[in-house]
This record gives sequence, C-alpha cells and structure tokens, in this order.
Amino acid sequence: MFSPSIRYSQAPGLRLRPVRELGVCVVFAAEEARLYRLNAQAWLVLALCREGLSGPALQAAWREAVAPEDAALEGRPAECLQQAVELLLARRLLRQDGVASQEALAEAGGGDG
Amino acid sequence: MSAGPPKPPHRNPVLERPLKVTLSFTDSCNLNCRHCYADCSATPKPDELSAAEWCGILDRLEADGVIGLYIEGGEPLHRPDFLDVLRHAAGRFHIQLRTHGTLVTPEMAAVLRQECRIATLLVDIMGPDAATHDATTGVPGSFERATAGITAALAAGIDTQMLTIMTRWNVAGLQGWVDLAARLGVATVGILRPYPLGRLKRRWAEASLSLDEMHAALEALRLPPGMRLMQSWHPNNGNCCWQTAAIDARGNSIGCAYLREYVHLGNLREVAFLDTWNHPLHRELRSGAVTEACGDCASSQGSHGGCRSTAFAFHGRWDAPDPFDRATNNGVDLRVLPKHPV
Ligand code: SF4
Ligand code: SF4
Repeated sequence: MFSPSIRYSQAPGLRLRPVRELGVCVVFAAEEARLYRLNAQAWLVLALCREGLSGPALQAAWREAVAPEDAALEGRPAECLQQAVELLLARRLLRQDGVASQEALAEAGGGDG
Repeated sequence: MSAGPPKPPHRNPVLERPLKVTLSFTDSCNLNCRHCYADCSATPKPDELSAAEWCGILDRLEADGVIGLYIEGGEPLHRPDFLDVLRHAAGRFHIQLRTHGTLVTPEMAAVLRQECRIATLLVDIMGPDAATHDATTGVPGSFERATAGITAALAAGIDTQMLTIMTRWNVAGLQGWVDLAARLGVATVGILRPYPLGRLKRRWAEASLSLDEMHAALEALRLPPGMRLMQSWHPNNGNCCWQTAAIDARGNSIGCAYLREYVHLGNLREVAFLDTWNHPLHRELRSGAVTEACGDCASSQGSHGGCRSTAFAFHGRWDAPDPFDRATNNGVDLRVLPKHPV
C-alpha cells in the first residue's frame, strides 16, 4: 500500500459538506445519488486527495495534518490512514490510479497530433 | 453492575446550518384524499412559488450548505413545471421524492432516474387493495395507476419505497399492504403516524386509533425476509426535529412539513432562509428543550424530544411530551383531539 506508482484522488462529482460542529463530513456522490457520512479521518483523507496525491505524498500529508497524540487515532496513525483509505475506496469516493499507466496514456495521447 | 437505562441527552446535536430541507412544492393534486394534510385543490393556488422562484431558492440552499432535499406536495408531479425545478436540482442535491405514484409512467420514471437523478421515490399507498386505497383517495383507478407507478419506477432502477399513514380506515389491511409491497418487489416500507392536520384533522375522531391499537397493529405484522420497515413509534419516535427545515408552496419557512399549521418563520420572498433557520422558535424546536423525553428512543436515535408536531397538537406547548410515545403518553387518548388555539 502507498506505493509511489499509485495516485489517490477524489472520485468525480462529489459534493463535500463539512459539519464541523459534529466532527463529520457528509458527502453527496452524484453519480450514485448517495449520501455518505464520513468520520474525521476519512474526511481528512478525502480532502487531502482533492487534487490527487501519490501514496508517499498522501502519507506525508497525513502525518503533517494529524498530531501524533491525537486521541481519536488511539496511537495508531498509520493504521488509521490505511483504514480510512480502504473505507473510501470501498465506497468509491476515492480512486486509485497507476501513475505509470497514466503516463503511458499521456504519451499515447501526445502522439495523436 | 448494570449502568441502568441510558439517559437521554439534555440537548440535541446543534447544527449551525441545515443539511436537509423538505420542499412542499405545491398544494395541488389530482387526487382528493380524505386525510390530505395539505388540503389540496385540483389547481395550484396563484400565490405558489413559480418554478423560477424555486430554482432561485435551490441556488440559495446549495450555497447555504444544504445537501439533501425531501420533496413532497401536494403532488409535485401534478404541477407541469415541476420537472424544470427537479432538473435544476439534479446532481447537486441528494433528492428524495414523495408522490402518490399515479403520474409515474415508464417514461416519467426514466426521466426521474436519468435526467433528474433522484435517489429515492416514496410512494403513498393507503391500503392493500383498490377498495381501500381508492376509498381514501376519492379517485377510482388510483390504486391501479399508483401500483403501476411503483412497478415502472422499480423497472427504471429507482430505489422505490412504499409509505402509508396508519388510520382506522386501513389498519385491518396493514398485513395485506406489506404483502402487496413484497409482490411489487418493494424492499423498504414505511408506516407513518397520522398527524391531525388538514382534512385529517377534521375527521380525526373517525380516523385515529388509540396508541395501544397502533402498537398492536405494528406488533402483529409479519415482514417477509429482507424487507425493512420504517416506523415512527417507540423505540423510533420521530426525534428528527434537531436537523429539520421545510419550505411550503408559498415560500414560507415552516420548520417541518408537519408543523405547517403551527409555525411560520418568515417568507423567503422577503427574508433569507438562514435568517429563518436562526429564528428563535426554530432554534427552540431543534434544541430538544422538552419537559419529558423517551430514553429508549434517544439512545436509538442520538437525539431526543419526540415529535414537536404531535406534542403541540395534543398539549399546545412546544416543550410538551410527545403523546405518540408510550414512555411519554401519560394517559393521553390519541383518538380525542383537544382544541388548542394556534
Ligand atoms: S395524494 Fe397526497 S397530496 Fe394528493 S390529495 Fe392525497 S394526500 Fe393530498
Ligand atoms: S415535528 Fe415531528 S416530523 Fe417534524 S421534524 Fe420534528 S419530530 Fe420530525
């Protein structure tokens, strides 16, 4: 997990509605016409991946954003990141794409003209 | 050692801005139900919001952070410009649409699914058969058309649920109604408490059951495997006030569709929606500041207070206990509606 050749990005067509007073984020996935309620960790991962991040960049951004003593993470920040990513992938709110294949596609596209 | 029953929270969760809003799009309808809360007429009243006004309100709601819409009427699909408004909301909001189903043809179902991208269709069916349903709606053939509407919506791939309001008119047929849902392929059904509003208020003595009769009817139901029942009695007392907001067909902010006869927080032609959300009465209704609440319902729902609409209807106070909950009924006979000045 979190390989440099994997890029994590928000699925298209999401509308995020933070509910800071409850510590959650409600997400509307327009494609599926579904609402999801995310806990703070999953919300953070989804926000970090708005523009797309490689695996190591996501890990670094996560480490920077969460305090090591954050009680909600029960002292397991790395595990919590993994759980949050898995939850988002399972709900198809997060996409993981192979960087190498993206570059290959870009190169193939570049040859059209 | 047991910690004892969970104590209800003293206050409800506080939302700074609303997440979901009910839109009572029109007070018009092609049916003529004897229980209609909206006291619908066959044609829209001239002071209803226009489609352009509704679209402007949707833009405002989105900017204010609203993410879910529950749209009902009257019958929204009865107003010819409704689809313009629904298309304006498509892809921007999670949309639940409540309908009586008679206007949901296969073509309409395809539009609702593909163009309007609704999440859920909730269809009111008032009994297990045409005799019961059509006697309620006042329109022969409405049962056939409504059940055909459910079939069309399911075939179009729309999550389709069936609703009914429990009254003396249909209580004997509730098991048949559940069986009908199963035959139609509906996986989620909702049995709703009756509210003394509109036409049902005028026929309350004839229609309402006692709380014991309501519970006995619920407890006697046998659900087919896989069917989910939503119901609004203990331990699921409707504790939804904490997050609710609603706008009626004339643009009045009314807190909840079931508060339509009691609450007026301002008209959106004149005031901003968030100002009505912050109206002192709306804050009070959401707060859960009540004299008695049911601990079981609070622990299952994370909020408390019971329904402010039925509490007010029977006690005439905003902080009164909800008589539809066993724990807070305190001997109130639900068949007898007291007279309170509104
Ligand atoms: S179908 Fe609904 S809106 Fe129409 S008359 Fe009956 S209760 Fe009123
Ligand atoms: S008044 Fe009743 S139905 Fe309306 S939001 Fe409150 S609890 Fe829910």
